[in-house]
Order: sequence, then structure tokens, then C-alpha cells
Amino acid sequence: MSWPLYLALKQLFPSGRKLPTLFFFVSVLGVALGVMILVIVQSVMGGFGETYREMIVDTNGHLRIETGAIMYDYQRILEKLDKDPRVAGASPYAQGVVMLQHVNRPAFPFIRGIDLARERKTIPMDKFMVQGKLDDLNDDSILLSSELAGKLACTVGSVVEVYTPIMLEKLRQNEVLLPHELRVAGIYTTGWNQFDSSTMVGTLALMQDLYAIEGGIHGITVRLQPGVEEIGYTMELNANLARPARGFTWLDQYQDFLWVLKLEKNMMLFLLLFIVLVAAFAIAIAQLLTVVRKTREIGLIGAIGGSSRDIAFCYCFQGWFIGVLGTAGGIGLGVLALSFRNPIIHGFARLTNSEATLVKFYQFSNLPVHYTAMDFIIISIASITLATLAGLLPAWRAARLRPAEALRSE
Amino acid sequence: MSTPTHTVLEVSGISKHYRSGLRDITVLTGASFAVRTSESLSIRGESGSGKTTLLNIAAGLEIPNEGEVFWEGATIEGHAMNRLAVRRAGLLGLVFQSYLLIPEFNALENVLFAARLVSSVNRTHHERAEQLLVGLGLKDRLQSSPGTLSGGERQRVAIARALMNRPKVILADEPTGNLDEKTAGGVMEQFVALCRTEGASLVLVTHNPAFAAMADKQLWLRDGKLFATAES
Repeated sequence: MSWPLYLALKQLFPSGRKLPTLFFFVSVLGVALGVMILVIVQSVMGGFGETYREMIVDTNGHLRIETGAIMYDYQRILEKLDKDPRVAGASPYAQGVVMLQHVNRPAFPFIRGIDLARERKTIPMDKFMVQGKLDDLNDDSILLSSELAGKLACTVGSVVEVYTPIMLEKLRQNEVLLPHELRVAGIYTTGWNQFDSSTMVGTLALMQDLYAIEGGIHGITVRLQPGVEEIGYTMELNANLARPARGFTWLDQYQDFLWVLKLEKNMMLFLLLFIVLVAAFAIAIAQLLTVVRKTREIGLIGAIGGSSRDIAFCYCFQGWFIGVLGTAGGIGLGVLALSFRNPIIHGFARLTNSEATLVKFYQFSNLPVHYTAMDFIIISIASITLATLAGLLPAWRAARLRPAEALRSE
Repeated sequence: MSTPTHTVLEVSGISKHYRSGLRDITVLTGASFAVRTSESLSIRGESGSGKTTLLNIAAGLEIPNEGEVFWEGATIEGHAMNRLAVRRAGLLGLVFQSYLLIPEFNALENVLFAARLVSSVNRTHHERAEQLLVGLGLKDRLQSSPGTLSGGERQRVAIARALMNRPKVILADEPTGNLDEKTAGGVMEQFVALCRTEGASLVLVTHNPAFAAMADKQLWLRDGKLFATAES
């Protein structure tokens, strides 16, 4: 072992002592706490992001095929998709906005007409049902999102009136169409606020009737088998689709939202790195004090043959070593804390009587967590770099000491 | 047959002055001395007479304003400090008044540290370090930390460290200055004897006339100049 390394380790773990120095312990703890917070926040942010991504895929499928107009000749596309082993399901849909009324309470929800048998393979609607049964959906009934049902004061069995834009067209031609009376067959909640706030689901035939697009659809929802990469698949699909039909992944459709999620996570990383920066400053100050306290020893080492470069390395190594141990400890503590996150959150929520609020606003009763190796790599590189940089200033000061002057210092 | 001797350390015409505010303080004026192989030399002088500065210049720790220093016949002028440090580790052994042991090391590790500065440490180095410490009467204190050693014991450890790399010259600056008279006498006798046994030349800076007299040659430093007699 080279002497700067030996001296650095001995200064942290002196001979004849069972425990490392207090400076070392506090410095490692400072970095570890900063890294732990980083790991927890990044993992929870990742968990929220992953949960939202799962919700988007669950409610939209992996990709949609649209033409920008009504598609009538879509069976060939469906047949092609059905034969592709990478596709778990493909389902046609028609969608638009209608006016809904129930006992003088109006609403303007987004309606989606689906082929129930096919839809089940692309979107897990059964999982979302909170009242009624999906099998009860027919051409005379609809499913309402939970918030919409609440706004209209509807329950399963309620009858609602549906007005469509076609009625306005007919009115211009002096024809009067009566509103459709539809029974509420079920109420669903997806956990995805965009869907739960104001949407309804009907059969494809009903939607085609409401929008007078007999035999037409607005698009096809496609769900891929697990492990199939959606961007690559969509590029391949688009190369084979006859224009104007074109596939869009959920990543394309929600790119702004996903960008915001990523930005939030990166901002959190940036802001929380200041905790590690504070720990790094603490290391720098503690090591500077050590250098001042050990000025004569540093002078001695220079006098008996140590080069200033090696002296600098000794103190720089200490910063790096503290950074490595603190980062490893922080990751360990962070993962440990994350494994107990739900008991901690529930305990805190119980203490503050906020369990219901937590579920209401975040739609999660348990705290979601998602981390990747890249998260740990970024956190590790950042914290070790900061800790090493913290060692540079004392190292530079120690290297600049002239042995003769250092030996004379009091 | 005696071993052929040659000059291992020579300082020639050394002048050193410092600037303190507007004042120019002259510490050394044309000081010269030379030490041959296995020879001992003592330098006496009053406090503040420039003894430590002279020793630092001889060790290459300070740069003189005038004059030259020769290590084994070669000038050290113009060499980078880091390069000098490496050469110093093999050629010179330094002993300071305040021991300057590294508190994180035990006695044995302090001695071995001198060897670490030169090369990687092996069993032979361990044996030599132990042998030096045992020879200085520290057999039971090898694993003791400096904080638990007495002043005399600390200085013995510092002497062992200075001799560890078998240096050609030992530069000792008031090595017994912090010790009581009785302890100082014991330490100095062991120190001078060990230097002779090891064949190391010794340059000893001291106040004590009795210790100075142990050296083969005595010099006096007065008004920045070296003299061969007490009065001139």
C-alpha cells in the first residue's frame, strides 16, 4: 500500500482505537443521510411516474392507430394485428363529446364506444369497475366514470338522456331528434384522474349511432405483449400501414405530461443534491481544520521525504473514501427505509388522520416506488464527486505548505 | 582497514536574510561547514542565532539567498522540492526538538513510516524497526501510541525513525531540548552511540556544552557566522 493511502486510512482509523475518528463517522453519516434522502425521493418520484405510466397504458393501450378521419376499412388492419404474436389485443373505438343529463343535472363528458369483447384484451375494464358489471353493457346502456356519476347523482340503473352534436345538425335542417335514453350499467374508476373526472363508455354500435358513422371508427387501440418495445414496434408498423393510417405510442400522446414527470424527478435530484453539497462542505471544513491542526505533521512528512503531490493525494483520498462509504451507506439506508415505507406512511397518516386525504389526492393507498440501476449510478457519481471535490481544497492547502514553515508553526 | 571517508554533506557560503515589513533581517552570513562519512559535528549558538535555519538549509527545506549545499558532492540548487524530498528520504535523517511523531501511528508504525516514504514495507523493514526500538530500550512500547509515551520515549522513537532508512547523515535540531537533564543525558548518549554504530554522520544543534562535546567537531554560530572556537 502506498504511504499516502496508508496515512489517509490511519488518520481515519488510528492504531489502538476500535472505532474510527468522530470526524470520519460524522462525515460519512452526513453524506449517507444526504444520499438516503436522494434515494428515497428519487425512488418515490420514480414510483409515482411508473404508476402514472401504468395507468396511461391501462387506459390507452400501448399505441393507437388513427387516420385523422373516420376509418371504415379497418378490418384488414385488425386482422393483421390479430395475427401478429407481439400484439396482445387490438380494439376499434369511436369517441367524441356528448351532453348528458340526469334529473336536470347536465354534463359534457367524453364518450368512448368500444367493442367489448376486443376491448377486454386491450384495456382491463373489469379491473376498473366499482359498481355494476361490464357484461351488462349493451347498446342501450353506458358506463360512467366515478366522478361523472357523482356529479350527475347517478347510480347503477339510473336512466340518463344523451344529446349529440348530430342533433344540432338535424335541428338546422328543421328535423328534431329526441335524446337517447340510456341506462347506467356500471360505474368505473381507473385511478387516472383524466379518465375518472368526466368520461363514459358505451358500445361501439351505440357510439356509431350517436355520431351517425355507421360502420366507422375513429381508431384502433393496440396492446402489446409484455416485453415488446412500443417505439420500435410502432415504427415498424407505420412503415407497413397504408397512409393516412398511422400509429402513435402512448409516449407520443402523453409526451408533455411524461416530460413534466421527468422534469419533476430531475429537479428533485438537482435540489436534493444541495443536501449532499452541504455534507461536502462539512467534510471540506472538517478536513481543513484537520490540515490546520496537523500543519506540523504535514511539515514533518514533507521534511522526511513526502512529496507535496502525495500529501495532496492523502487528503483527496479521504474525501473520496468518505464519499464512497457515505454513498454506499446512504443507498443501504434508503433502500431499507423504502422497504418500510408503507408502514411509515400509514402510521404517519393515522397519526395525522389523513389516510383518506392521501388516497383522495394521490389515488394511491400505498406509496409507489420505482428505481433503476441508473438512478443509483447517477446518485453515486454525484455524491462521490462532491465528496472528492470537498477533499480537494484541504488537499491543495496541505500540498502548498512548505515543510520548513509548517515545522515552525505553533 | 578503515572505511574510506568522503564529504557527505557540505554547506558553502550560506547567507540567509528575511524581510520583515520594511526591515531586512540577516540570519546567516557566509556560513560553511562540511561533514565527512561517520563524522559528528555540533553547532552551538544562542536562541535565534539561526541554527535551525542553517539546519533547514542543509536539509534542503529552505533556499539560501547565497551559497550552495552539496549532498554527496552534488549541488542541490535548482532541484524541484518534490525531487529533493525523495532524495532527502534516502540520504538524511531528521530529528526535531518536539519529536513530531504521528499520533495515529503507534511507535513501530512511526518508525516504519520513514521506510514507507521510500519503498513498500516488508518483513526486513519490520525487523529493522523493531531492532532500532529495542536497541533504544523501547522493547515493551512497540505498539504504544505516542500519547502514552514519555518525552524521552517519544524522542527515542523519533531517533529510530530518523535512522530507519540507514541515512548517511542525521540532522538533529535540539533533540533533547524538551527533556529534563537526566533523561536528556541518557537519550543523547544512546543517540550518539547509535549513530556511530550505524555509521551515520551527525550534525547536532544544541545548547548543551556537554552534548556538543560528544561530537568530533564543534562549531559556534554567532552573528550569522560559524566559528571553530567559542570566542573570536
